[in-house]
Amino acid sequence: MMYLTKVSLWDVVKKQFRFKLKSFRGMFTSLMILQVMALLFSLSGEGGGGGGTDMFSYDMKLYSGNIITAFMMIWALISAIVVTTQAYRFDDYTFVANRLSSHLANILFLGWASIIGGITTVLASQSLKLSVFFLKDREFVESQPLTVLQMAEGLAATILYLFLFTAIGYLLGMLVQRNKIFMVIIPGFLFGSLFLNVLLASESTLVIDIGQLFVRETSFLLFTVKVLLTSALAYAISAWISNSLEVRK
Amino acid sequence: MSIIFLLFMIILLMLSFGSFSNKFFAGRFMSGSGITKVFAGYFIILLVAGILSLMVSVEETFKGDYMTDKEIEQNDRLNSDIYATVESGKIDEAEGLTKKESWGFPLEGQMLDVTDMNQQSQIFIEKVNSLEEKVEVTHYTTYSYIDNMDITNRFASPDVQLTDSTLKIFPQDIVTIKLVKYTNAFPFTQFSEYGEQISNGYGMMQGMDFIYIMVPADTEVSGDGYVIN
Repeated sequence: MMYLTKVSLWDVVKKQFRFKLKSFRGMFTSLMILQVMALLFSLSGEGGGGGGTDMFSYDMKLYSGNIITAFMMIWALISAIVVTTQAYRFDDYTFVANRLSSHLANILFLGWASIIGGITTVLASQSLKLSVFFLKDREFVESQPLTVLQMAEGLAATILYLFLFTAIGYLLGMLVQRNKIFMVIIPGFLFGSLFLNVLLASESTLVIDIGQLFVRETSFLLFTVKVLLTSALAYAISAWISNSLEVRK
Repeated sequence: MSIIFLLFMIILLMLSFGSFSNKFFAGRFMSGSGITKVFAGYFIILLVAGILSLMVSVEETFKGDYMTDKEIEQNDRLNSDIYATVESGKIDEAEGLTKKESWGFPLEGQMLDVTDMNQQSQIFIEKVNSLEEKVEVTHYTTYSYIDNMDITNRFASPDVQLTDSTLKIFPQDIVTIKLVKYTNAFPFTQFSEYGEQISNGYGMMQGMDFIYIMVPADTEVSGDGYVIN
């Protein structure tokens, strides 16, 4: 039997994307759990200081949304790795599709997850601020009250960071699918690098140096370009790697 | 501390994404529309909290101004010269002094005994020709700050009383400040053109206190304090 209906790539991508929205809902469960955990961690504060004289004493506790953001970055990274696993990739075989449509749908889904993750991260940080605000017997100071523009930039930057992490996660996931030895090499390199940085204090390591490329960028426009280019490169390499995989590998 | 935190974080992530989460959260309770409902509820809670946090007026919490780096540097420079200026009797020329409170007392006789119970302030006494049968006391202070938050106004002036010929300077109230500082996550501060409103690294600075007493020129002064002339 032959079918004459021509299905465009974009139609397939849209169908796959809609399917992924439903079937990957578990990711948002982990998002919630991690965000609540991050909020609880953040509530204990990030440090503090104090001092005084005979006539005067002060005590300051510090809070910030950094822990929540860091947790969400790890969530984005691991979520993207999970998307590349066999169980998730096999879902795509329920569609008349090719690898390109599958990748595009995955990128769309991870982009969508980054937006949801970014918005909830900002809202969770604001919830933390509200909780801190009502701490008894303490005066509240905000180190940088935000303007609407700064808030919009911050939200966009959070989403872009998460998207960058999904791209990296996707690449790492594909590398692991290509060769299982990366299951040992990647965590060893990543966590080893982080541990080294902690142990050697100020000694910089490669992972940290690469991170500085984004973290130290003060121009929002340049930051956006850097993130989008890096993400595009990571997704492109992932797609190239996946071409060398067997159909059901 | 960082290593422990990192390890703890990794364990938590394993718990979230590993078999534990599959067993307990990926079952019927969290599947299908259940997740959507729970997530929608979570999102609404966050949204309400987020909106509330924007409605809270930050200005109503900490009472104080923020000093610029330049003001703090200037204050530090002035602090190093101010004692010598006051000691030489040129308090009117001293820069960086804040006049907090003044008192005037009628003085009977030509004797004044100054009793300092404060220990915090430095007392200077100037004999002036323009005063007759009167003592004028003024409390001056230099800036006090935590980081770059001006807390000069938190310090009240000491109570000053004149009984017979004894001028008593009572101890100042002890000031306790408890603060909680919230900093936005780094993606929000990364592109900041002007930097943070609160500068870190200045620590705490308690300003100097001066009690400046002016008495008639023919008054014999005894007790605490440094007589300028």
